Amino acid sequence: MIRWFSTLAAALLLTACDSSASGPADPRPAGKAPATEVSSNDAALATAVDTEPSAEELRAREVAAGIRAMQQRGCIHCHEHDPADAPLLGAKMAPRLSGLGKRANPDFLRHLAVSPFAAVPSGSMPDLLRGLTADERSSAAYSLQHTLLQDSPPFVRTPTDFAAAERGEVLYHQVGCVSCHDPQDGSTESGPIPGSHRFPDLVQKYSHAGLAALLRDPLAIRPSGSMPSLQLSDREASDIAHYLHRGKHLVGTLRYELERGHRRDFGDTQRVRRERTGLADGFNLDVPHPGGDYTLTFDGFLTVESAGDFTFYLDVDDRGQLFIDDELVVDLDDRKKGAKQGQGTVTLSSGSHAIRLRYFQWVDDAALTLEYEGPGAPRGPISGDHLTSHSDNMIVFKESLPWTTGHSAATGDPQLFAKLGCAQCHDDVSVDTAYRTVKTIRELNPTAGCLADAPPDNAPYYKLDPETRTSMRAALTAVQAGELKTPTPGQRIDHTLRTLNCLACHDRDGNGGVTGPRRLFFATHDEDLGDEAKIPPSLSDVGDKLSEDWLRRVIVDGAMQRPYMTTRMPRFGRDNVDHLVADFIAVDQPKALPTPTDSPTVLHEAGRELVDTRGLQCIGCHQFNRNPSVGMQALDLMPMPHRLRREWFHRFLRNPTALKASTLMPDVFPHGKSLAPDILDGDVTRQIDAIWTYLAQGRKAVPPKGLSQQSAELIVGGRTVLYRGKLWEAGWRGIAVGYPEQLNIAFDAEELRLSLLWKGRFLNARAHWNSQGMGRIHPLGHSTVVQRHGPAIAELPAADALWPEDEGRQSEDRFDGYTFDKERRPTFRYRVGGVTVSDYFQDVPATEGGDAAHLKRTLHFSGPSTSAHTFMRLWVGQSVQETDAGYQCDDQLLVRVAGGQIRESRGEQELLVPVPLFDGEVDVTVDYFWGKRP
Amino acid sequence: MNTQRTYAMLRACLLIALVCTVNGVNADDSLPAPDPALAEREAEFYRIVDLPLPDEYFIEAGSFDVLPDGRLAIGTRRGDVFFVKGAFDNPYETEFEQFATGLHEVFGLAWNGKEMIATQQCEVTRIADLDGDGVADRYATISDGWGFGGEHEFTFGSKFDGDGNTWVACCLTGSYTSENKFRGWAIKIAPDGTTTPMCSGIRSPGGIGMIDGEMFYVESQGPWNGACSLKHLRAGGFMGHPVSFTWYPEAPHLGKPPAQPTDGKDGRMHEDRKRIPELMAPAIVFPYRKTCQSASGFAIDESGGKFGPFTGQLFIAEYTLSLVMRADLEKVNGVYQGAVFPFRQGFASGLLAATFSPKGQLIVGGTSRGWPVRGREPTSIERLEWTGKTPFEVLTMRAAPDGFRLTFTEPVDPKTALDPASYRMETFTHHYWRFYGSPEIDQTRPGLEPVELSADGKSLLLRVTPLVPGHVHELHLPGVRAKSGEPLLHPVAYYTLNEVPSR
Repeated sequence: MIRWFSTLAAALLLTACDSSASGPADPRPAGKAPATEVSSNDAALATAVDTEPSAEELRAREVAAGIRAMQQRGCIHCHEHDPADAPLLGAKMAPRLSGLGKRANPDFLRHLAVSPFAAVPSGSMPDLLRGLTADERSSAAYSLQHTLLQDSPPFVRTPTDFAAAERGEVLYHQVGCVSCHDPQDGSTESGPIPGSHRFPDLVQKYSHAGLAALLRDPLAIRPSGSMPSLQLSDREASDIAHYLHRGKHLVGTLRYELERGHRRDFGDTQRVRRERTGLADGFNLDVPHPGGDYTLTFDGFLTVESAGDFTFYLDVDDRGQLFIDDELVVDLDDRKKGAKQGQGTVTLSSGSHAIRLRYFQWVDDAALTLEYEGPGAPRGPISGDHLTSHSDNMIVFKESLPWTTGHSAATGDPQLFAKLGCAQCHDDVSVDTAYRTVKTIRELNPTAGCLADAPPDNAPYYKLDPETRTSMRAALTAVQAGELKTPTPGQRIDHTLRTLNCLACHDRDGNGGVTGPRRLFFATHDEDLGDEAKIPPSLSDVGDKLSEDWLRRVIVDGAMQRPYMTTRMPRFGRDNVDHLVADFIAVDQPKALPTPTDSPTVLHEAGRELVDTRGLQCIGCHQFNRNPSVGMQALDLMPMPHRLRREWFHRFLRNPTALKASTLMPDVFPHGKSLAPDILDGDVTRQIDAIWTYLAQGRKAVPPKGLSQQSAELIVGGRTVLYRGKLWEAGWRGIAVGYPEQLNIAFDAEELRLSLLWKGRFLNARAHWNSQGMGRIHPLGHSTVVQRHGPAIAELPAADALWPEDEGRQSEDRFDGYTFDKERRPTFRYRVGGVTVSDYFQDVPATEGGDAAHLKRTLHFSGPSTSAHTFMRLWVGQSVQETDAGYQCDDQLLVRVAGGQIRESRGEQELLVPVPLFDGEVDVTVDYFWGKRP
Repeated sequence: MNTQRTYAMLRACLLIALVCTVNGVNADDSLPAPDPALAEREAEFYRIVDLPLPDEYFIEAGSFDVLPDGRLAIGTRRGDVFFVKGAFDNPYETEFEQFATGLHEVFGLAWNGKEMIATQQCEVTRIADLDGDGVADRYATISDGWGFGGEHEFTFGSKFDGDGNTWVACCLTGSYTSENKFRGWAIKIAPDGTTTPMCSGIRSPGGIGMIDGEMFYVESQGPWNGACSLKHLRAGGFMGHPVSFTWYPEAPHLGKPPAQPTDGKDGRMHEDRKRIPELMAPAIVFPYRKTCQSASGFAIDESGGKFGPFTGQLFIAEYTLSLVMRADLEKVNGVYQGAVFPFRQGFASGLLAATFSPKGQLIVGGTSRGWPVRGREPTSIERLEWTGKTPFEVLTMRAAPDGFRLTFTEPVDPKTALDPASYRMETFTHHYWRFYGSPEIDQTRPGLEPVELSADGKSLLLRVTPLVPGHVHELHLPGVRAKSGEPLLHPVAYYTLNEVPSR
């Protein structure tokens, strides 16, 4: 329960302190749109009370609003409280201030310190400088700025990349930002959508990098979860940040636009993709550009001081065009590669002229030089003084902040941050001075201090409106009287879904869901799948539908199962949402089913037939283990038993539309009769159990037969799979083997050595099975260990002789093929020099509480060997260490082998096993475990 | 400009050119249009029967063999070997068994009585089912005695020669280079693994097999090859593309490399043959686009009449146009040569392999992936069966000292058959040069005189003045009629005249 306390505490306090979120009692003029969760809460209250609320109910609402207001303002950060009150008063965490200098404008910080309500009108940060004169306030602001930013790098402004902004625009409107914020693309004719969170002027507040960092991982900066993570990549976050910073120009010498891809001439745009825009300091190739073919277009204005004829000299490799005032002056757009020169003369009046240079780089050398010559300008490059990126001198920040002048020294009291109490909320900033002693919650006078009608200068000033103040007083009184009770699971769910705005995307029991103008922004990559692919699933009975494990993964980790849906499941932070898992289960009360009576073997085989194209045709629409289906690409079947509860699965399959009105899933058991009557006697219950049990094997399930037509992935089910072809690292004569324990190897039949070990998925043969079959195949799984090229077995002239270099197969060497055991595990047979080898790998399952699944390799050597020093090399790398568990080979493998020898060679360490053959035979057993053992 | 990169780019361009040109062009639309009316007429005599493929496997046939128990063996591009029960009976009652799997593109299958010898890209393998459960469990490498490291290095394997050897034909690295050992060579592999390089000069093989006790292969149009052709793999022979001469030091029993061909606009196969004894002229040239664009596997009709009147003749599958050609081979002055005829079009996919069933059905199959193909299915296996009705065709066209002796499948109408106006002939050859393909050049129009109609009305001598050694003699017979008045189903033949028989 303790954990839940803090959860609710944070959850109750969703509202962001510096965005426009506000409680019902916030000091907002009437008529302004309230924040979403507020309106939802109001709606909830409205539904809870049909008509006239009783006096008691009115008071409860007032107390609830007061509690929320107290949580939002973090009363308990200063005022000590009774542990029993914790679930009620737990306060939201203020934004973390570390790294502040990288993201926030220092001017903005001072502005915020001096007049917090002007900087962020809806904010909940109090004014702590109220008793001071204007000069003292300014000075204090500098002190605080110095305390917070002293170790920070300079604040950097980045020119907006308009190509990135275009991508950002798509993302912003697709991944879920508009579930809480307004669309920015003008698509909603009626203007801002009621209930949206509005952000302040982001250009004034953040650097581009800072905004991108916030978008990338908002929970790191704002742990309260009110701004959840949409699981953006670095590039996506940067693109959205450019989009939100659009429309603000930074003035420079020239603007540039970079395009990638080949073009036959400048008019050809077929294969060209806009990559980036920015500012350049002149007509040169200094801007960062990609390899391959690219086009750079420079745009700006040329200032001409004396009118007359100007000649422009352009020198490019490979192509270029120069325009002055939209007239083509030099044209070097011929289709040949290589260096070209050209010139052109134009008559220019004094003043500003648009200048545009287009440059295209094809293969090999790249060069660009532009010179000009005219009245008062001897031949040479155009100096930066004569170029501007914008003729109208647009300014980055329209309003300059008033206190930016006249005060530069970092002065004042370094302890001010602590003394003022800033550190009470921003407790990630370490301070060595304590805040002054204040009363405990139980001691507080509800009509004095912060809550006084006219708060004294020494109290933090929250600019409370009378309504909020009244509610906070009521709440405080109720808390002090011990009147409030711990909420029920249902109330906690309701509260969290509303405060974190889950209901913007999901409905539960008729509340919330995607409605109104935002519906436009819920999109899909696969229109065939209809609304189901666009609208996030309902949360009604979700505790009954999903397994506890999957429920937790979705809620806590933001796990996503629907690749076709553009909107992403946010991550809200574990502490903010973890309680939902237990609460959903407590409220929704999942049901159980008796265990199936058929044996697993029967169920596995029947399940395999049922999902197949000749059974119930599940793989006709559903993906199977990430392999595409024949038709539409509906949800992957394989994870279903992991995600769902069995009882729900039964109910759903029997009547899909009853549980999901919008589903496209056809009725496979119409009127309770199976469409595959010949399997398991057509018994519906047994058939559903068969599908479930079959899929529950996970990747070990033998794939349905019909799948092989569609997919090139080689799925290792219950039996070992062998694939020959051009493999990465294992060569053109590579042999890959995937074992049922989801362990894989690749053997190089040319160099006669083990070349790769990896875990997880085996291979996708797409490169070989599509088109002409060109290209090499890479391991599909993970934890890939690459063995070094060079002979694996060598007859050394002396025990300390260097290991022979990689010279490929020697004339005596032979690959003799392989045989399969009953489980189709191969034994490779080969000859190295005079030594004949049989080489067998076996996957060994994990033992309970002991070893993880691993590979056991059994080698049999037979002579004759000409050397007394015949060795097998098992590893070469930076380090080999002998431990109790075996030989730790770098961090990649733990190798268990009897009689291993570690030696230094060419600055590296080798693990060798002697193979003392002469004319006899030797057996060697090697166990390979992945990773590093403690 | 950086030379090495430019060279690499040039090579890339050439590769692209290869891909485009081998198959004519890179879009289906520009393939010569199929002739549905002709296909319909052909169907009257030879019907195509589709062998439905099972859902659970994707079968892209690359090679065939027939087991002694009458099962069809299929080696596939995806590396499987299937045995099919009932493949020659009711096509809807077949049973596919996956005998072997995990191989690397099987372009050669031959059953030696107890094991399957499969030619994969990387090696020739002896595949056995030791425990008798119908699924192979031993894959023993017989030989991997050639280099393998380039994207285009396909390898095709033969059925056994008279001594039980398998021959493999190794494609060049691209069209222009031989970067790995014995690329561009034919290699003989004995059952014990002894590996003997036999011939150099291969460019890009499409099929390899025995005819008349000798090994032959199908070559593709490209550098040093003006058109696709059938070539004789005579031991020590040079098949025409000299880039593989690099590997003669690895084949000491063959001595020094042959002399370099002339190359350039003056290069002629017929002239160089006189100067370079190892050089093997194509036995039969398949004029480009007129007959085919990518010839592949072939089979000989040894059914003794079950397949119609063409016993002993050669049937060559074709990839791009999804058709089958017919060829008639003879030996003149010790050199193989002969004629090619259109035979049957309208197959469902690109064809890679062909074999005859014991019932005299021609089994063909392949895939349509990778290169443009006229057939509309992604993959197919089909049977071509004689309907029992004999088409009116030129049965054979054989060289005579002063012309060609023609035989027909039906007695001809003497009036039209002996009328010179019923015939038209043009001869031509190709450049023999390093460049990709060749136009038809050095055209001549000889005089024609049909004489000596045999008593049974099925054979006559067409006097040709003059014959042009080294040229393809393209003969059209638009006016020739059968006794019944019927025109020839395919009134055209192409004879490659390497040698003129002496009187």
